[in-house]
Amino acid sequence: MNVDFTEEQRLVQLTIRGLMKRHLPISLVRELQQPHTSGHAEGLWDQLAADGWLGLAIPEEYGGSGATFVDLGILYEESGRALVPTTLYSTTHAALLFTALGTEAQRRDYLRRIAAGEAISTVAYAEPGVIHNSACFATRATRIGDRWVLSGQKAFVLNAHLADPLLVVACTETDGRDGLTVFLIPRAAPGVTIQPHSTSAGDRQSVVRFDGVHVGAEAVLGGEAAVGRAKAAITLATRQATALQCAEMTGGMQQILEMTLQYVSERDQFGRPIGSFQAVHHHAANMATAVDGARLIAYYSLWLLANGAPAEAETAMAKAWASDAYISVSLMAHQLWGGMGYALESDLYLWSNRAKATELSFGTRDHHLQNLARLVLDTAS
Amino acid sequence: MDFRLTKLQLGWQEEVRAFLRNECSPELKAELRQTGYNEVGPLLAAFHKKMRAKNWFGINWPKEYGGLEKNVIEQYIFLEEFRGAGIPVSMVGATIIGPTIIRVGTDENKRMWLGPITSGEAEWCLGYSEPDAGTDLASLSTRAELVGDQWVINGVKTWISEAHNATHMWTAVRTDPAAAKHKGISVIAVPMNAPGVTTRPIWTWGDRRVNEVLLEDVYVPRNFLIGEVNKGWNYITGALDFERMLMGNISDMRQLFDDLVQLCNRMLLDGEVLAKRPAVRMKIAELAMELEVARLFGWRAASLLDAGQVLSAEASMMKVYVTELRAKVSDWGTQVLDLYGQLNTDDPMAPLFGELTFRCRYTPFLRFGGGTNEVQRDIIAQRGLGLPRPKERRE
Repeated sequence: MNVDFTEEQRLVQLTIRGLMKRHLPISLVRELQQPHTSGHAEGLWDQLAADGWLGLAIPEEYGGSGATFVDLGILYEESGRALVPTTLYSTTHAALLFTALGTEAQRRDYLRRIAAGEAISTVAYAEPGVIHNSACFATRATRIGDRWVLSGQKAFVLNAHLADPLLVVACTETDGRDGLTVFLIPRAAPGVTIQPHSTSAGDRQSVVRFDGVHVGAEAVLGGEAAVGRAKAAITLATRQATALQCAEMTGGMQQILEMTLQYVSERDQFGRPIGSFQAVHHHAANMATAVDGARLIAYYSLWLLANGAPAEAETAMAKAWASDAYISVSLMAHQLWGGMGYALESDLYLWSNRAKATELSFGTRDHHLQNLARLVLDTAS
Repeated sequence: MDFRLTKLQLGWQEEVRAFLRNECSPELKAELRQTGYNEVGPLLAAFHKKMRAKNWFGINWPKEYGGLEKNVIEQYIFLEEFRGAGIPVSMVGATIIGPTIIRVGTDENKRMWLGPITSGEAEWCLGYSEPDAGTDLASLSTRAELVGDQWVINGVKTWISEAHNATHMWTAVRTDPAAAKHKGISVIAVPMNAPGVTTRPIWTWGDRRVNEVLLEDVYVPRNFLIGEVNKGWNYITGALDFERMLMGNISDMRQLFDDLVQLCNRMLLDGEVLAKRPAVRMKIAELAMELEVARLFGWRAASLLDAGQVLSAEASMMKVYVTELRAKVSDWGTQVLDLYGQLNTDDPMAPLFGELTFRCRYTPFLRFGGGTNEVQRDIIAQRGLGLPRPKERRE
């Protein structure tokens, strides 16, 4: 039992933190929120690829380093601190789905490109009017000879404007299967239209329309055997991505906490630092407890996943906790910083915006608590 | 990072579990409920005797003093299992006094006191708080003066748990009134049957008996002083590790929560099983999450101690979080049970033996006992997070 990082993991943490400091100044984070930019930090991306971080969780035979989910969690935590653009997260999510479902040839091709920093990708799951329940999906793929025709709309697709391929979850004929199939869709395929959302955090999400998009059999992730059988793999990859996002959120709230500690230690009122007031002490202690709890449950769930456990309940706990913690830590920071933190020039809002975006993505607190209730109550005999 | 127990630790866990399966009978649990954890009944005494036969009153003691020399993780495993089984594990002598004597006691201290702790001859209570020295313990004013070969002790101790069951009180006294307040304190063993010792019950909201102990010209032999004179503050604060682990462990509440979950699946109210109520489901899920985080806080503390680190902010964080969660589990648990949530242990219709109801009244004391949660939050902010201390202090 060692709940702390190993020496090696600490080294990974410090190395990534240093890299972020050098290649992702906060001015760049701010700039990439502007609508005229791509929202993607190319210099950082190349560096992450060159140093092998993009291949962290990709098996060695596909050009990665085959590290564990705990190591990947460290990358996410540090990315959350530094507010790394979301292309890292959407691409990793796609890589997890490639790993869970792809054929040998698909993994060799795409995972190698992702590890090398040559591909940005994303998973298109939600639809207008459908966030979680795939039984309500309207996006369908129909087989015509040995080809497929895809029609429908996906919404909230992260980085669709850069992703190639898009991994699109569609309904196919069931004949006794779960009816979900994942298609690799080139962004430039005829019939694909991308309409950007306008989001609170200024991250890049889009509605993607598929109007009779034709693809060949090789576009089915996992090949013929996976047609109509993708549900388990999608669920697994999504759970993994959810647990990882909890680590990202932990990093974000840790950063808010540290900036706040510094602020209240330097800001004087009534002739003393406001951080010397007990009321402020107590708020800070509560913030730190929320952050430490988030870190413990996030890494516990990642550690379970790394060891092949389903971690269904633990991931639900991690996300429910992190959703609440990130928001409440950011709101308390705003309270403690006063007007200073409300002004855009403080940059505090950048983390607060990410808190809201991550609170809502991969299931809200209530969504996960409902799942947890099912796991706790309905399996108790 | 590795949340696994070693094979050896798993073996130890199984040994403790097997013992509890065999020895923690429904009759013993009934006796504990009936005494309200206030008295040592015959079944609990017999249970303690069996523990003694296994040397379980010296789990973390070195072998040369008759201990098992278990490490922190193993102690924590023991604590988890005992708490989970609903057996009280305050065991002040075994967990606080014995280890402190081993660490700082004189040879004579060791000869006199260690044997009686393991044999059960000596039962201890902690004599720290006073009417004017609670959270600010260093202000204590109970006075001990050396007269010839005897200490003469005068003062009042209050909120003393187990004083009515104890044979001795581990008493914090002022031996040098001229020194700075932390530097004039010593620890002396006071036999509860010494002339001048009067124990009076204080009954609390949580049905728990604590005591006021009056010390009036109590004469105690000189060699009943523990360790060196005027070093008592270090002895008292240095023994906090296990106490913090005790306060931070919540496996009894988790067990109670698991029982509540089972109950929700069979108890009908207004024609519907409780587990189907959406509001109940959300409460159960939230508590499940928070209890899991509490468990992780506990393992983090044990694992840091095991790695040789000193706990400060982490222990305080765990103390605050866990004691407040205890109150929440009790409160929400009784809400889930609706009107049944008010039934006491002795009511035949009380669900879960009225345990949740009892704990609604019992758990609030943990929020201020063992260092109030306000002070704990200050410790987190100052020692853990490095925030500035309040400048002005009125002496």
